[in-house]
Amino acid sequence: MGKYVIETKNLTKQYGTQKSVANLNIHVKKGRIYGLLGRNGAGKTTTMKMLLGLTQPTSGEVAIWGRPLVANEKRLLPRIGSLIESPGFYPNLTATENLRIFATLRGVPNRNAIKNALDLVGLPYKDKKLFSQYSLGMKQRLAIALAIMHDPELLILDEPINGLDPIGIAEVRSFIRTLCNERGKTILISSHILSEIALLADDIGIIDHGVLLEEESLAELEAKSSKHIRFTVSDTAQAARILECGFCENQFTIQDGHNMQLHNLNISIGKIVTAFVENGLEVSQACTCEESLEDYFKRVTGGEGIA
Amino acid sequence: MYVETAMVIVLIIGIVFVGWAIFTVRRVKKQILEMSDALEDIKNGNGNRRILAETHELVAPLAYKMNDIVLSYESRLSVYHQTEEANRQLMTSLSHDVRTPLTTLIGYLDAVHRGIATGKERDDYIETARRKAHDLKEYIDVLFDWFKLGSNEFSMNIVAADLTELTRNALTCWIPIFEDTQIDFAIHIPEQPFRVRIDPDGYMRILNNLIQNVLSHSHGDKIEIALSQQNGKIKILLSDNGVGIDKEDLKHIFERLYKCDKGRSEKGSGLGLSIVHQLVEKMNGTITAQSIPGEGTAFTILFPSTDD
Repeated sequence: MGKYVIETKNLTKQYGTQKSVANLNIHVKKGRIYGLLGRNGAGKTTTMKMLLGLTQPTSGEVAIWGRPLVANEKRLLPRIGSLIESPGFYPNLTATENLRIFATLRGVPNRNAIKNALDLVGLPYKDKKLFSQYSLGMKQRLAIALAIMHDPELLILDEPINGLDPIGIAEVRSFIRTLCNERGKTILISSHILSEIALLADDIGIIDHGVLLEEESLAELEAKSSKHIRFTVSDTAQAARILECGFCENQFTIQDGHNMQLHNLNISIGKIVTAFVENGLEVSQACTCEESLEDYFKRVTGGEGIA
Repeated sequence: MYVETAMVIVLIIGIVFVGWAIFTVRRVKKQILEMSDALEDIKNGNGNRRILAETHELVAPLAYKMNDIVLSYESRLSVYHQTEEANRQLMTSLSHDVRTPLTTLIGYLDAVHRGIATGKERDDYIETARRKAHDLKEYIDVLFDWFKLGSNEFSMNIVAADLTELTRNALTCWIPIFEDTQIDFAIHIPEQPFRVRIDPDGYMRILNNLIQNVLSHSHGDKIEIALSQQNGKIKILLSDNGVGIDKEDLKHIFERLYKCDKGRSEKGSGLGLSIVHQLVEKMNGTITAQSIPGEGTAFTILFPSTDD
């Protein structure tokens, strides 16, 4: 078994002359939430469809649990739950009847699977309401219920919060978090909303025009985009003393003997460096990092506002 | 004629039956193969794997039972993994919370040692280093308490005590501090004794932690402490008029390492309220918090009364 739950190698999808997804290499780790972040039309849905064998890649490979997807679909796909666009539900049947059809086709892990799934997304079991009478939010909830009904190890969710009200969004978010934290599920989720991904994902892949621009853990991204001044000096102990005595400043963290971060950006770097040097310290690096996650996202996608 | 028809019918029934039997055996064989495949995966440590079966199938009860077993083991394992993860986080934050003050402390001592600071400055540096060393010791003491509480090694000395007296004793140390920091205080302690069975030191620690928490984090200028008795329970109410706590944060405040303000401006181990919570529970009490952002926070502790 490979190291990753999902791994793609140079995955490419070409429609005509336009590359919708180009040489994509994503790595989804077990028991983590991977957020695929990109603007509309960046290639998120196409990628997910290729991961599920819903559309054939022009070139490149998909490996799931270390096995190539091609030729192993029958063994791999039942272990995945997915939500891509809207699933084909029968409009003239109720939610429970719809799920029962899928349960018969795919099999379920226990006798109460349908009820459990509906309970989880907050829809009534054995309700008389037909699917065609459902609101957009309820349809989305049913689609999520379908994705989790067979208790899959891996969930692939394409913009799962679309059409949900704020309470629904919070519910889905905490529910996804629980699946990952308490049940160890692996989840791949896509969104064009940065704040949503930042709240949920452990790892983030930023995709734009079909190209993966960045793949990193949220912690690394946040560290990159937190506001601080970074110093590399010959002696952090002395540097700390100088900051406290000379600048009455104690908002800093010391990484090791040479690296430290100052979290107050209101002090002039020049004055600090001068004070350090006057006290016999060697300063080999001093730089300000004050980019927010959003600025960062905008910069790597080369685009304007996203929210 | 009659016999022939009967034979044909029997033959047809026979063929249908054999056909059905072969079909069923094949199907079950395939399912057993799938199940053994899944079980192999589970054996190799993948507790998230489920065996899927349609409700009316022959193997369904078997598959469902196996899923139940795997799930129950998995949920027990998950508790263990979460503890492990929490400990890992604790280690990370520990290394930060200890390293920064310790390195700074060394900075002062080095300056003295190398003769950079002399005269009054030298004395000031030594005093600062001493103060920092004490802060660190305090932090480490808290940490040890917390570890002991977590591993059930915290020794409790549960005795019959009068809560009103204990509370008065605890507050006498705080009143000068309230006055120094210009915090209005209102204290309501009834004259008659409230008898409970608790660990007096533990109770002191609970009050001290809660009051310290108000002083360090609430940004309020009024604190109220009230004792009352209702329905066989002693109620201790501690409220402030500070910034309050968001609803989302309120759910987590008793969890270890949870800090409401994500910034680094406020010092704190993030363990204080977690220790309070564990102490209260070990003394058979309950603690809850209510808060309105912008108006203040109120902590309510209930202990069973032993008066009747």
